[in-house]
Amino acid sequence: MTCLSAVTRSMYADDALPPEQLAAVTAHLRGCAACSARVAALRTERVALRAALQSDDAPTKVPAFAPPARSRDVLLLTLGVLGVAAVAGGFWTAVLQAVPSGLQWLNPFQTGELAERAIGLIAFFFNEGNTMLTSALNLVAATLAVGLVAWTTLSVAKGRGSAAMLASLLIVVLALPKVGHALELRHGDGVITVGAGETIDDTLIAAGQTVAVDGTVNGDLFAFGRAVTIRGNVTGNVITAAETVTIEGTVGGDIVGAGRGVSLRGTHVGRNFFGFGRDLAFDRSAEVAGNVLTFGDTMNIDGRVGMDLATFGNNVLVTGSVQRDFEAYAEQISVLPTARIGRNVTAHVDNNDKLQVAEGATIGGTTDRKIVEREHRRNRYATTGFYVRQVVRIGAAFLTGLLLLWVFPVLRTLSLPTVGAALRSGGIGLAAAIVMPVAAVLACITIVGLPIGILTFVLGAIGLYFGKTIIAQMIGRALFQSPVGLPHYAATLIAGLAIVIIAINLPVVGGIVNFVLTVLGFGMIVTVLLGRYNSGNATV
Amino acid sequence: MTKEAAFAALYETHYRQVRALCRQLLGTAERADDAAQEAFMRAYRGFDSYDPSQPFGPWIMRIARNHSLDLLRRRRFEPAAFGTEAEEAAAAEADDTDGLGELLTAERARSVQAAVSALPERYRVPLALAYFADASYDEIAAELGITRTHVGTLLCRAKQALRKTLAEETAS
Repeated sequence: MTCLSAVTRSMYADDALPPEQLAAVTAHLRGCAACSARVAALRTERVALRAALQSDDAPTKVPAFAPPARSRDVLLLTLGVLGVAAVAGGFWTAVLQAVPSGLQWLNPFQTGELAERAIGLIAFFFNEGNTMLTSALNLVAATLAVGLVAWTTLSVAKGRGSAAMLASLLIVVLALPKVGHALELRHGDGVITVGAGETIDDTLIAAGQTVAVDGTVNGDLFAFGRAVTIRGNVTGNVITAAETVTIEGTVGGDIVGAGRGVSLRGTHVGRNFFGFGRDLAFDRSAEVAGNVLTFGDTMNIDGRVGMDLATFGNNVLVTGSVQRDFEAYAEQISVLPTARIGRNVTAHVDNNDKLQVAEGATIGGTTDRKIVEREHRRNRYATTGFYVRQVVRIGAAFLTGLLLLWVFPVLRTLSLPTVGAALRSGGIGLAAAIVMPVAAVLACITIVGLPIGILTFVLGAIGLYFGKTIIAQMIGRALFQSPVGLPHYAATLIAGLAIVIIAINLPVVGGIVNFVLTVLGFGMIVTVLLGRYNSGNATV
Repeated sequence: MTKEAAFAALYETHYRQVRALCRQLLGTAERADDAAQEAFMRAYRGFDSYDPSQPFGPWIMRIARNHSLDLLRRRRFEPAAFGTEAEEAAAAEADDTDGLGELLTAERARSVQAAVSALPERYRVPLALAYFADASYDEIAAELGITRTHVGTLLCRAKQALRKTLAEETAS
């Protein structure tokens, strides 16, 4: 009888022979010493192989397990953040109204806050009006599209590698221009013009050294450059930023203008005007049907304002007419004889002399001087408002931080074990903090990207906000580090937050500390998002 | 104990086993890390349907195994990838090595594991299923879509290849 085949021996040793073969094989083995010996060796091998495979002698590090964020939790977090923001916002509105010394942000040295408020206002007014509905719809559509693309990319990438991912990206790139067709983009290094006889029936985005619009734009106009001059007719809104902005034509919607010098000359504006700049001028023949809101150093209001006029600045000079209320926060406010104010004048000034109303000026309602108490502004640490504000700040950061750590437990245990890790996080944070706004602006330039751009901006802002929370949690953990273990993460968070808030309010170095902590924490969040964070260590 | 805490404890206990299985089925550390995380993620999502009176180990190992095999299948891993039974059987008979019980000592576990990782997929996967996951020939045949004797042939070849690698290593 021939000996057993290698496969048969192997299967026999594994007790895996089919019953019909088993009898014959057993019979052969009884008579064949060679085959029996081989089967015995295979049996020993099987036991050893099993033991070797199942042995744990090369210990793998157990990475932290982060349970997936449930959509309900994410919703709760969002609502929580919005809720806390609303409460904090409401609180500050109330405080600012009740306590004159709370008007610290008027202090010209606190430019950060002024800019913050200006950005808040711009964001608010951007969202207002008839574009709100369209942009909301766009946002929903874009979010769906982004979600779909992300999902496809992710699932395809998991299965078939990078080739399919590139394909998805290609699809996105191909799909983008189709959606953004109702848009004209003109840009270059020199002069960008829309000739006097020319009509553009789309939204126009113009960027160049000099932008001159003499023709008609039946849509919105976005113009950026060193000098922007609009002499033609724009039926939609004008959003422009340049060193000098001069608008002489007719604008059907709102104007948002920012620059060193922004002037309206004989302009007719169908809705509101929002101006930001060092010098803002508004000549006699200029007319704004809606409200005028300006931030700047010197402001000359000589034309006609259809509704309210609100200004924030140094020197405010009113010679024209305002149909309704005039309110100003300024160093010096002058209302000249030619001025006509339909209703009340409210001036927020240091003392009575800072508001001068000339003899011949007509004021329909009352004139109210609200004196801002300088003494309280000199030293911010000497005001009660400051401390109340910091307590509210800790409270808000604590509540939002708790929600964040609850939803994303992986963030509870982040640490920076080495200097290298800290430098890396800081670098990533700084890069992300620079790249995200740039990416957002780039996305905004294509109309379809506008919602994506805003989303990027909002997400970036949320990330920056939470940066210090992450650091606070880390500091808290370090504080409570002991052999018996750590207390609840709420305790470590509040302790860390208290330290962080004190540190960022230190005189002189506070600003730098704030910047470093924000960037560091933001970097850690970004690293976690990138999925590279593995309890601070790379795995095998 | 909350669901989260209960799960975290089970995760701590079973992670290594799960990752080791994924490592042997998938061949690389990166894929194994991802697959192990994904397996626990799936287990977490389905944790409400898990019956605590049953042992957790087999349940999570089954999830990890299914997920890893899914991944392999998605990378165009088809029955054809296992070669034909006849070819493999002929190759098996041409090789005349004996079992190397004495070479597979516990001290060599690491090099055995490394050698398994280096095996071609068609040998590595059945080997991991049979000797790590303790799957029967019938189960392996069903999961890979091949016949039972084909499984036997592949396992025989897998062990032969392993012996060769380890013998070379010992010689050098």
